[in-house]
Amino acid sequence: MIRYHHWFLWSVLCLAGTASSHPGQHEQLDHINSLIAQQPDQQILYIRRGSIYATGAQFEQAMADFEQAERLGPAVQVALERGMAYYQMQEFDLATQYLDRYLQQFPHAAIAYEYRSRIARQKGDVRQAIADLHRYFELQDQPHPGNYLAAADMLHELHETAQALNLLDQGLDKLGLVPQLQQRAIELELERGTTAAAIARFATLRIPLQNSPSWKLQMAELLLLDDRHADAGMLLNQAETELRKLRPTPARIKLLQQVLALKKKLAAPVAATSD
Amino acid sequence: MRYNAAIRLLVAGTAGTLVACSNGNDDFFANRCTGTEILPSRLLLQQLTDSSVIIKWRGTATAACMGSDPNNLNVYVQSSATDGDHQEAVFTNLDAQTLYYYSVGAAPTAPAGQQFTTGPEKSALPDDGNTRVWLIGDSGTGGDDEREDHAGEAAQVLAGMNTFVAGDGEAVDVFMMLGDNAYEVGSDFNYQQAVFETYAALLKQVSVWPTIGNHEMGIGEAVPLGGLSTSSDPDSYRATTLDAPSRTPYLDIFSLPTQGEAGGVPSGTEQYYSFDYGNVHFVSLDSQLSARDDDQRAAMREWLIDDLSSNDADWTIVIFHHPPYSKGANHDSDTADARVFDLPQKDMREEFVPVFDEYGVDLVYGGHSHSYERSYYLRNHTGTSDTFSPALHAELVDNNPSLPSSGRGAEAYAQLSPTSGGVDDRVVYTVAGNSGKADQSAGFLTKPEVWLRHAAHIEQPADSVTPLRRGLNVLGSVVVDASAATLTASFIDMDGEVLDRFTIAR
Repeated sequence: MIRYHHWFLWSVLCLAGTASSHPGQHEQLDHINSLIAQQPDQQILYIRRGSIYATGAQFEQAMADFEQAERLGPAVQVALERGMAYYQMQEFDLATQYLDRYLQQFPHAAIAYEYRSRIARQKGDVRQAIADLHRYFELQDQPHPGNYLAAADMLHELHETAQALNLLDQGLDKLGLVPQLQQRAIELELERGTTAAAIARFATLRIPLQNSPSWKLQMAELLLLDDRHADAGMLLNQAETELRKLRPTPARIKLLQQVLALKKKLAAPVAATSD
Repeated sequence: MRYNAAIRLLVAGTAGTLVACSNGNDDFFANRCTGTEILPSRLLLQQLTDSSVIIKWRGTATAACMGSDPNNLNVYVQSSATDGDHQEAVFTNLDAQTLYYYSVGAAPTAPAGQQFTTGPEKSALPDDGNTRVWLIGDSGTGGDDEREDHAGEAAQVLAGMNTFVAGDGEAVDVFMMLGDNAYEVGSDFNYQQAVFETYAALLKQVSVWPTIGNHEMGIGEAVPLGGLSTSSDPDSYRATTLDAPSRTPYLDIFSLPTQGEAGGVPSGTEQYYSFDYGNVHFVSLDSQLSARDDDQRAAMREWLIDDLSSNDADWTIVIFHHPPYSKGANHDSDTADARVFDLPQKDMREEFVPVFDEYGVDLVYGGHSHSYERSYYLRNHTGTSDTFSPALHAELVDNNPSLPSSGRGAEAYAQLSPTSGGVDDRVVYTVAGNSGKADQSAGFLTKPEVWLRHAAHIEQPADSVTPLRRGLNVLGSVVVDASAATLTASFIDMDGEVLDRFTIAR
């Protein structure tokens, strides 16, 4: 294990100002400093050290290292880290410029698209953010489900529901039947009035959600939207029976209240309309 | 393992089943287990359920055999190559609660130690009436990177567990790792030394279920520091300053369920997942990668709610690396706001603790701080330690607001909390990041006067310091025993001695 020196730690802490340092950071800094002492012309070492400083919000030192790195080798090699550092600094235009430069040289860098998407979204350029996430999905073998949801939400903001659904279905194809993606698709189906499609989608979640009382309640709500009162009533009865057997948690208590309220609504006679 | 639908289908297609094999004399049904045992450089069981198991290894063997007679293995499975230079053989249609033996290389006999017992069927108890879980945190000191300061410490903790287990003769059913499993950077080589060479015997017999810690993230792409990556991208891994970015080895070394293969709700990612073992539901969350991005963290939270809504097990245990409450050396959950590397502590506390309260989670385990700290039986405590109030947040003895219950002996907790009016809405949070090293000072980021003194944590009579602190800075690990009636958690030291124990009764 590399031992750190107290004098060095102290100096870094002083330099850091309000930024704090992780114990492992000093070891890494110490290590990189020793490598730089041995190989002062090695570009990658300055890139790495610059990123260390950027993480600790020591942006002045970070940029000094990035500039030194640019003097020692191709500037494009520094562009990703520069872009990320500017993102941290919320200098979104500069961040985008550097990420653009990096992607021109390395068009398969999924992480650069992911970062550029976040920047574009924060800048309000939703279309660019979506386009970058699309590229990220193409390049990533295992995209995170949350990125599909983010992209679908942005498409929804643009009122492009069909595209949002298409994207969610692509995610379901790639990741398997992940309930979060299907649930978001159901919300969109309902919004555009395709209740039958929402019901069909939710039916696919019966086994993944283990036919739970929660699934039954939500399915009953969907069935009621389609005027399938008898089917909904049956599910509500089943959900109530199951919930009464399970130990009470706050969530189950609320669920039971919802089930009972819906049953009551279902049982209430339809108010007579006056001619 | 990198998720790949094509590979997964291929594996499923070649999976062996005990019923499919026959002792018939024709060529088609001839026993193909006629090879020679080939010693792998690493060997582990993954996703062991009541009816299936993945045998995973690194080495030249391309098949495995299994059977209930160690001298007559009769089910042959061709393995599939998976990422990280591993091989996997999937065996299905196994009988629940049954002892099986296996060979790597398709030998007809099983070497000593290559055996496992399948789990009980969902909701059922194991034959011995108890599910035993072993949890270790920040255990990855068994390799070169930590040898100078912590040589042999992880092995001593393992020995402590073995001593404890020998005391009552009940073996471990489930093995869980709380992150920082292989110092310094979670490289493949770190894993080889700190995991596969340290726990070799156990990994052959018990399925390991890990969570991802900050030291699984190498020196990072976004943040090139050992254990300090704040990237949410698993492909940003760098083991050294000069490496090109690649996928974190953690995701190649382990084959974790993404589609609810072992129970639980499909997560679509190996970064967080759940599974069932008999009467216990387990959840592994990702406080390292998924928690670093708002959208990804929100997706994980939505999944958790779905998962827990679908869960009706007797007991629920959740693990993740960054503890919501800690006054560990250099990791103070009250100052997480100011330290980007500890921010997940705050995020998990504020966004996930309410979910645990609502959905009947019983125990939460984390690491990160290299000490043992254990909370009261809490609900609704999402603030910093100065906001903790026994009357508002802790289970009480006889409803006395100045007497928070310890959970020990006569003060055993009830799952249906009397203080909450008979509702299951409380959780015990434990930090157990001391299975590979135990910090002996507060470090330079935690104030010495608050070290191991989080108000929501319980005083530890085994402490060597007076007044007693609310934590222990000794090496150790946790054994949880889950029966039909009780859930007992024991913190045990290197000698197998119990230093803290509490019980929750159903």
